[in-house]
Amino acid sequence: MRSSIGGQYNTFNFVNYGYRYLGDSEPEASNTFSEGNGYNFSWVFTNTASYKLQLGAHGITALAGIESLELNAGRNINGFGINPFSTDLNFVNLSTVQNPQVNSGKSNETNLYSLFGKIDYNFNEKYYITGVVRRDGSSQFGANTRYGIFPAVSAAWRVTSEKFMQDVSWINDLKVRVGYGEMGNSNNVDPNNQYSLFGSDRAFSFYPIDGQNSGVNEGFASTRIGNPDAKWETSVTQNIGFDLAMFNNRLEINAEFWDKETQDLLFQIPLPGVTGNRATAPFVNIGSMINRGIDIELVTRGKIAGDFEYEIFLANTFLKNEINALTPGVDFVPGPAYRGVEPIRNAVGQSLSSFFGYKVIGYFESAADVAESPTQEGAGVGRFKYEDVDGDGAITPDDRTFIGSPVPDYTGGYTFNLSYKNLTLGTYFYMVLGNQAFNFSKWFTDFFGSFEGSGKGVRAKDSWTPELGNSAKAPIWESASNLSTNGASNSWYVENSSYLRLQQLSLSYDFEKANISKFGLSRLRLGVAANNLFTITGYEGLDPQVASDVDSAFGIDVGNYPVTRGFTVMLGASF
Amino acid sequence: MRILDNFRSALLALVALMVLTVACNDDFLNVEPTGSLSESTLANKAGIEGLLVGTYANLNGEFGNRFEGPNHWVTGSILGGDANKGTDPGDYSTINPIQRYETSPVNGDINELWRSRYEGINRANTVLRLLAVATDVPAADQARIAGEARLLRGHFYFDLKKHFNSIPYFDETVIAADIPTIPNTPDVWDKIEADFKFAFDNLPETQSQAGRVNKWAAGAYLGKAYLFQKKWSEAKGIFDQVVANGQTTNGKKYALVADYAQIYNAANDNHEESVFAVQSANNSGSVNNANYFDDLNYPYNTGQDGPGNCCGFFQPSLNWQTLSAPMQMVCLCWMVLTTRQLMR
Repeated sequence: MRSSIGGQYNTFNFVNYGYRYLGDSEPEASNTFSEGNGYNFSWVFTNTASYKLQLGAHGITALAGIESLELNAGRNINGFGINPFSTDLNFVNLSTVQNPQVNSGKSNETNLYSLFGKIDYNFNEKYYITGVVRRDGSSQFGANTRYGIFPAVSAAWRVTSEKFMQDVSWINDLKVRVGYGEMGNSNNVDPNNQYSLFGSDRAFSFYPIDGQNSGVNEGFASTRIGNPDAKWETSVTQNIGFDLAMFNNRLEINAEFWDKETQDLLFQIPLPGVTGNRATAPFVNIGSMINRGIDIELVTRGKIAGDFEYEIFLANTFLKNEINALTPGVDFVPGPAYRGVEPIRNAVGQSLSSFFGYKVIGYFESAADVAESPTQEGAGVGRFKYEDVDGDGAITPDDRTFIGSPVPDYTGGYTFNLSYKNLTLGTYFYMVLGNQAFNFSKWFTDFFGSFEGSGKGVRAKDSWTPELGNSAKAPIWESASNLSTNGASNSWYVENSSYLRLQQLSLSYDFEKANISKFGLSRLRLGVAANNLFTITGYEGLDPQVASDVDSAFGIDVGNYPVTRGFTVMLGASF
Repeated sequence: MRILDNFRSALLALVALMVLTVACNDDFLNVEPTGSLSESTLANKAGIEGLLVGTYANLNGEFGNRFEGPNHWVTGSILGGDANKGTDPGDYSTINPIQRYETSPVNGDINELWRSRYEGINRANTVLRLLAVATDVPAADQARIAGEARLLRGHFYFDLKKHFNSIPYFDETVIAADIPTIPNTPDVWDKIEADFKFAFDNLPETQSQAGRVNKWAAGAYLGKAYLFQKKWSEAKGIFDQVVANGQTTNGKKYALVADYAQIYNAANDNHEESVFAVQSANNSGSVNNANYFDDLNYPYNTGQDGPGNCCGFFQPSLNWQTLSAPMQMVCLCWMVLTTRQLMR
């Protein structure tokens, strides 16, 4: 029997000073100030009982448990104001600013309650079977749908325990695994998802009904449409794999083929425009998605000479992601718009967050080219020429198509460690292949027509000229904005964002136990490390590792901050 | 047997623990929402009055998109030719095709206008739906609240009819789940007229709060609906009444303001020309109450106390230049439906 209770209390506070800036045509007119703080609290209470039984060659371990989680109960308060008399930091607070506003919030906990049982059986350490059943309940779902039951079963065969393998000395361990499992997920669902609610907000439900010119009267409006029928998203995983160790454990190969189908996918689909959609839309179980992959891990270690040792660890994942069903009546789930451009569409047969738009087949090279091509809004010399996908002689919204996906085909993590006596040199590389990014930062830097007069990028020098033709990096440099220039989502923004990055290079030294034990230390390590030293990529934006938004809208680079290079000095001690 | 005994007692303990936790478990998984109100809390006079104010709040737009502005500077003035977009081509480029009559079916701004007006309709419908079930609303207030809500609903449908012609129509009796299945129809004038007529028959002539609509706003709007259908004699009939007897919500007999500039002076709000004005205010905690939809329509660098501070949108067109001075003012200031416009 085992009981454990754990809790976490987080508290935060922030202060923000913003300064007036009148340097260009769109200035920041006021000095601003805000500050706030808040806390949240979570706890987990787990009780398990386990029982072990060995009857001859039969080994059985049974485990049953109960777990309750209470997550993210908290409060926060923050205030905002403008134009204090003086910007002296010692003077500025919420009492000395103009038009101070205070906001606060309380969030009730999200509660989860689970019962689970697990049985491990093995025969002679040769055949293994494991069965798990869990029943999870969540306060995020309505009373009729809040419980989900998720079974899983897996089996393994240790081939090296068989008699016929005893003579094969170069294989140390070989185990073949197969499994089937269901898992529930409720992570992204708002705690209030089941409730239809009303509320008040200064921005959208208050109104100066007295006809006054200062101040407003309170009003109410619908703020959330509830879905009491939402239920657990279930992922069904099937996998088969093997673990192999060879040559005195100097080479290990672990491989796994897996197929994970996520059913009853929980998505927040925008409410239909006609039903009034200021209110937050509920998460609904809308479709299903398939992830298929192969994981291959290679580990090799050994001595080169004398005290020189090495360890190489290669983790490789090949992945295919596809949405394979959406609720009838829903053709796709759109992503957000950026400056009137909507690059994302989540649709059946495509990966999550696929890019959608016109396919650029070049630039119009002459007036004759414009005249001969399918009619296209805003067509002109040096502008984008789109592909007439449906072949109807005109470029219409129907010619938009899927033009890329931010989901990589391959990701790999490679660790190379070299050690000499107490000194260790560690490297960690990370590689992503076969993914694209929608480099929307080019909208700002590569068109004269986007905020004329603002700073532009170097590709402006390679914008279209008759000489450059289709090798130009950007359309003709002109004061224009329409479907054929910067007014539409198209494949010109889509770039290969594969990269290889040295994420960490470290050098560390472990002191001899004998030397440090007199200080009461069992381990003392001193080291230096450098993070993100270099990246090899063809991507033209700031960083190919485009910071991601939610799963249904990622891979859009709006000029995101790049990962920074960092240097660390480490001192680790154990007593 | 010892093994079995141990097993049995462990099992017993487990079952006991489960029974204990299962017993309190349904309560544990019922977590109340915070910072919000349920529909039943609002199904009374005070709640419905608040929902009605919330319906008014939709008049000045909902989602912070400039296309939603009640003055229609894009889909009215720019589309109509009084004004050009201004600024440079890349700035708010989705307006460019609109001026060329090439509005794209995938223009997201148009969608904002659409869903903003339907938000207003749904708010008005919520008021009417709860008014039918609330038991503490006196009869006079019932007539007034229903009149205001129906005038506002008529206003939003009128706006949709003007912009889109064929639209889905539904009233407060249709349940939310059925709304998306309602087909578009161009035949909505009868229903818009019915809302205005009801408002005309049920609203008081004056109200203590100047921002509310009154009987004469309903009458004027009914006349405007007749005009759009070329029902000239009905229009004449109602306009004659409005001109002869009309007064503003704050009790001023309809008349022309002596000094033209005073029509648009904030200090002279809700004057004798004001039939139905969308109210705005500062110091409200949100720009949404302060004509945010016009924030781009000022010269660049108007300084710290200037409005908007930018961005040179909404410039007078050559068309506009050829109009007479009063007509120019009327064109540029769609903010209020004034008696002057009624008499155009």
